[in-house]
Amino acid sequence: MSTRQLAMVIDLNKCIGCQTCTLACKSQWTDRDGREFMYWNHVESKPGKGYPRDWEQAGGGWESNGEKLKPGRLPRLEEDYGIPADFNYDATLFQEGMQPLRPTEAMQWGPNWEEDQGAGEFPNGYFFYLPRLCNHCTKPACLAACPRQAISKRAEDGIVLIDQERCRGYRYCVAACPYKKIYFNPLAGRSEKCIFCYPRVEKGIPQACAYQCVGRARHVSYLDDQAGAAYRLVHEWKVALPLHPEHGTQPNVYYVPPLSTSTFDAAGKPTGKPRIPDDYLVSLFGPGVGGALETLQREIAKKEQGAASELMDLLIAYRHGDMFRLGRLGEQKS
Amino acid sequence: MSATIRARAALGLLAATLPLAALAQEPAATIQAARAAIAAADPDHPAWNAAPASVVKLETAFPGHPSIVGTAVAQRLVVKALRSAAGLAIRLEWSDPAADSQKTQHRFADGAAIQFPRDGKSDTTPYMGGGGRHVNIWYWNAARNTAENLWADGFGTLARMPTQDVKASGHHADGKWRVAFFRAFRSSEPRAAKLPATPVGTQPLAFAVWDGANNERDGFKAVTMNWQSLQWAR
Repeated sequence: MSTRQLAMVIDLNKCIGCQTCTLACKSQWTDRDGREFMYWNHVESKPGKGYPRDWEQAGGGWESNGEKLKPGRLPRLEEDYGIPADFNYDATLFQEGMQPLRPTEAMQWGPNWEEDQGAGEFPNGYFFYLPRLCNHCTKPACLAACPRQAISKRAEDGIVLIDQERCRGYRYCVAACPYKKIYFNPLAGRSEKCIFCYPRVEKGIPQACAYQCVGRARHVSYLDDQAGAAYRLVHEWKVALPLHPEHGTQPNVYYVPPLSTSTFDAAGKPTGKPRIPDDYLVSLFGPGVGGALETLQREIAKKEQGAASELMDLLIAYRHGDMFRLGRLGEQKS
Repeated sequence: MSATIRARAALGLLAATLPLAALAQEPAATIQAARAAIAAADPDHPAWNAAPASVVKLETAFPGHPSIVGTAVAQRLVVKALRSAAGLAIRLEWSDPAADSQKTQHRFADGAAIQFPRDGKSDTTPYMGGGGRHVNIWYWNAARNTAENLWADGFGTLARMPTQDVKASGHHADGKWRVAFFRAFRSSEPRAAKLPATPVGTQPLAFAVWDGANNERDGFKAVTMNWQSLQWAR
């Protein structure tokens, strides 16, 4: 087991769904050699079936006693991930006529298929963006599922990695991951996943997805670093929550749940009830949602009245560099 | 998990899932390696027609890990062997209504394998070897239609050999797979099965078949529960 855990906090109130994180990751790690269909990081619109399609119904994770793995199924390329289609750029950009940009093969699904769809009826429709990546879980189901000990969790930072020399593509890990964040590369015959940009982390550089985030929505620090954003948001302020904690894997990517504006009643008057139903957020982020949203609202109110709010200053992230504390123990700047 | 703990866990599973006495009683097939001029992994080589066939019974392997669950499909295997001055050829034939040879995210490819105790002695455990007694495995997979030369020293230890000098080729027709393997008698790989240059006596070997349509992969497979015996023709 790891002695330290590097954690990421994603503020869903700041994510604008621009997919800069997705592209930062893709261009760095997954743009070739059988990885074209896979997105180690992606942003999906919620509510929705997500990517891969219906991942929340695809099983995996631990039984509630935490001792036995739940069965899971393997997503399919065309129906669940979506084929990595080519587009008719040549016809659209360089030929006569007004040909619209279209995939050259029929697509059934994709990593951003339901963008901005959401749920609810006008004028009370709602959606929010949920960036997703490997959670580098404290109790990884993938690691337990592998009969070959090909998956390990690093002691120094808790990063979960698949040893590409040991992996033989059996895909028990793909089924076991309740987030479906492990992908089988059919060309390589091995399973692959987000590596939390460990070669960057080892040099003190934040993950590409976090560093490139234009919304300053992603904080990265070690969970035991009390000056770091992860410790402060997760343990001190309790506004950052794990995704689907009921699977028992103890994920280490945390989310600040989204606030939403009031719904309107039939007469067009605000009801004071948030558009995103609390129940839905609880189904995603667990019982801590109510407390987290209350704290956020209280601190926003303080800031609005001109008072100081340490929490708001932390989430606003006035200085980009303050969002990341990657120094190893002993070399941490205070 | 250390190798010792893994081995103990595997033995525990073995004891729990199989009556050990039944293992010893299962008769081993004798496969005659007939002489022929063959020097390739060719499942359609005319020399196979005259080679004596042995039928080998397959059973679901006992699971070496909690992830491995299910009953394997294949129940019997027809084995033929040929030896030439160049080396040893073995052909496996079994029923499988559909060929699973696609490389896709959610499906598994059919496969077959031949296992040898590295030292040629039948007191090596036929369940992936162990305790320093290595096995050499020739593995064929329908998605790649080539052989992998592998070795193992117990559950979860399977690894590729540095030397890939085993050939395999298969094709599916009339609801059957026919897969031929070939290796020269001499291999430069120190962990490879020692095949005698002047073959006398017998050589223990074991077999496995995977049905991809049944999600079989890894230890989820149909296997011979005991070493079988390859007899070198004079």
